[in-house]
Amino acid sequence: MTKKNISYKDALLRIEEIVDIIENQQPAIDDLSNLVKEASTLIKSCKVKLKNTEAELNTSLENLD
Amino acid sequence: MIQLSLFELTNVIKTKLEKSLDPSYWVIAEISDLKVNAKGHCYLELVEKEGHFVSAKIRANIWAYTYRNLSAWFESITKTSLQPGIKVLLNATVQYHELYGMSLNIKDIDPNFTLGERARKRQEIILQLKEEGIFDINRELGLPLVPQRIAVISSETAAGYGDFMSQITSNEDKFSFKTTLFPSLMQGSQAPTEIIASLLKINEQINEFDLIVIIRGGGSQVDLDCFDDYQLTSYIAQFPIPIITGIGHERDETISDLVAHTKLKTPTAVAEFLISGLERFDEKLNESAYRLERSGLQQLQQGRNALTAIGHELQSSVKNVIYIGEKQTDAKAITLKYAVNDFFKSQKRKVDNFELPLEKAKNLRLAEAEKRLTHLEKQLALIHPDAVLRRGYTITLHKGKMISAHEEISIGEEIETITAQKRITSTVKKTEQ
Repeated sequence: MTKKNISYKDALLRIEEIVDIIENQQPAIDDLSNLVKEASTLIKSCKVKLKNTEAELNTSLENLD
Repeated sequence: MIQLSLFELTNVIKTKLEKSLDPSYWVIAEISDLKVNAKGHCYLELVEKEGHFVSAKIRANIWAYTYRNLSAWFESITKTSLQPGIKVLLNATVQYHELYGMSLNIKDIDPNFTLGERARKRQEIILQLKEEGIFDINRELGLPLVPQRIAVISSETAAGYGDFMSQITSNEDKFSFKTTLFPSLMQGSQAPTEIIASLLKINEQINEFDLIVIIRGGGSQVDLDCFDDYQLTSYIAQFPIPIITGIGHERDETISDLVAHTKLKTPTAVAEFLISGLERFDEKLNESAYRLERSGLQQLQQGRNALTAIGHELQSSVKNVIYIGEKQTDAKAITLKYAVNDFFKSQKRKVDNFELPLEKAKNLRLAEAEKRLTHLEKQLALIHPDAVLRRGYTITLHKGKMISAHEEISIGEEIETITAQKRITSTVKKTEQ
C-alpha cells in the first residue's frame, strides 16, 4: 500500500535519483536490474494514476464512507 | 393678494428656473437606481453620498434614443453597463414638470470619468490588499506537480463551464481529472457573496482538492466589476490552494486575476493549462524512462565490453603462460637431450677406456695361464704314477688303496704291488718298525 500510495512528487524524485545513479554513478550490474525495475514500476504507477485517477479516487472516496 | 392656481405656480417655478439656469450642467453623481421601461426610456435615481449618508438625491431620465447610444458607448469604453453603484459624470438639463416635479434629463455621460473612478477604486483596493500583506499569498503558492482534483467555481449553465468540461474530459492523452462544481452566480452584485460561499465550502474539504478554477465566459463582456470586489479578492488572495482564473474578458485584468495564482483569458485556456501540466509530467516520465532504458543498456553494454575485455586478457595471458611454459619445456627438453647425450658419450668413453686394459689384461692373463698350465702339465706328467712306475718305482696297495706310512698291516694279509709291467700279490710275513 505504501508503495502504491507514493506521491507523484516522491515518485518523480526517486525516478530522477535512479536515472542519475545509472547515468552518473555506474552501479553494479547486479543493482542495475533492481534499479531499472524499481524506476519502471514507479513510472508505470504514475502513468496509471495519471490516466485512471477517477477510478482510484472513487474507491478511496468509498473507503471514506 | 394674488391668488395662483397650483398649475400657475408650478408654471412660474418652471419659467423662473428656465430663465436663471444654464441650458445644461456637468454633474458628478452616483447612480442609486436604474430602470428601463418597455419603450426603452431610462429612469434613474442619482445620489451624492458622504459616507453612508445621502446628502443629495434627484430623479433623472434618459430618453430611449439617447439611452441606446449612450449605454452602448459607455459599455464599449468601460466594459461596464450603466448600473446602480457606479459614479458617472453626466451632462444634464434641469427640467421641471408641472406634474412630475424636478428631474434631470441626461444628454451625455463621460465614460472616461467612470473609467478613472473605477481605476482609482481598483487602485485603492489593490493598495489595501498589499498593505494587509495578502496580495501575493496565493500567487506565491507552489503549483502541485500533478493537479488532478479540481474544484470548479462557475455557473452550471455558463457556456464557459461547458467549454472547460468538454476540453478537460476529452483531452487527447486521456489524462484523468476529477472535477467538482461549486455553482455560483458569476456576474452582478450577488456574485462576490456566492463565490465566497463556494470558497468556504471548498475550504471545508480542502484536502480533497489540488486547486481551484474560477471560470465564466460566453456571457457578456461587461459586469466584471464583481471580480474587483474587495471581499472576494481578499478571500482569493488568502486561499490556501492555488486558484486559476478564466473569467473570459478582454479588458484589463480584474483584481481577482491579479491576486489569483494564475490568470488565463478563457475557461478553455484554463483546461489547456491543466492538461499541459499533466503532459509535462508525462513527458518527464517518458524522458526518464528513455534515459533509464538508454543508460541501462549502456551500462549493460559497458559490462559486456568489460567482460569481453577481461576474457580477452585472460585468454592472452593464458596463452602467454602456456607459451612460456612450452618454451621452458622445450629448453629443458633440449638441455635434457644434451645432458643424456653427454652422459652416454661420457659413459661410452668410460667403457671404452675400461675395455682396452681389460682386453690387455685378459690376454696377458690367458698367456700366463697357458704357460702355467703347460708347466703344470709337465709337472703333472713328471709325477704321474705311470711315469714313476716307468722309472722303476712300484706302488703298494692294501685293500685296493695305497699304503700310507701309518697304516697298520697285519701279518697274513695280502698286499698288491704294482710295477710298470705287472701286478704282484704278496702275503705279509713280517712287519718291522
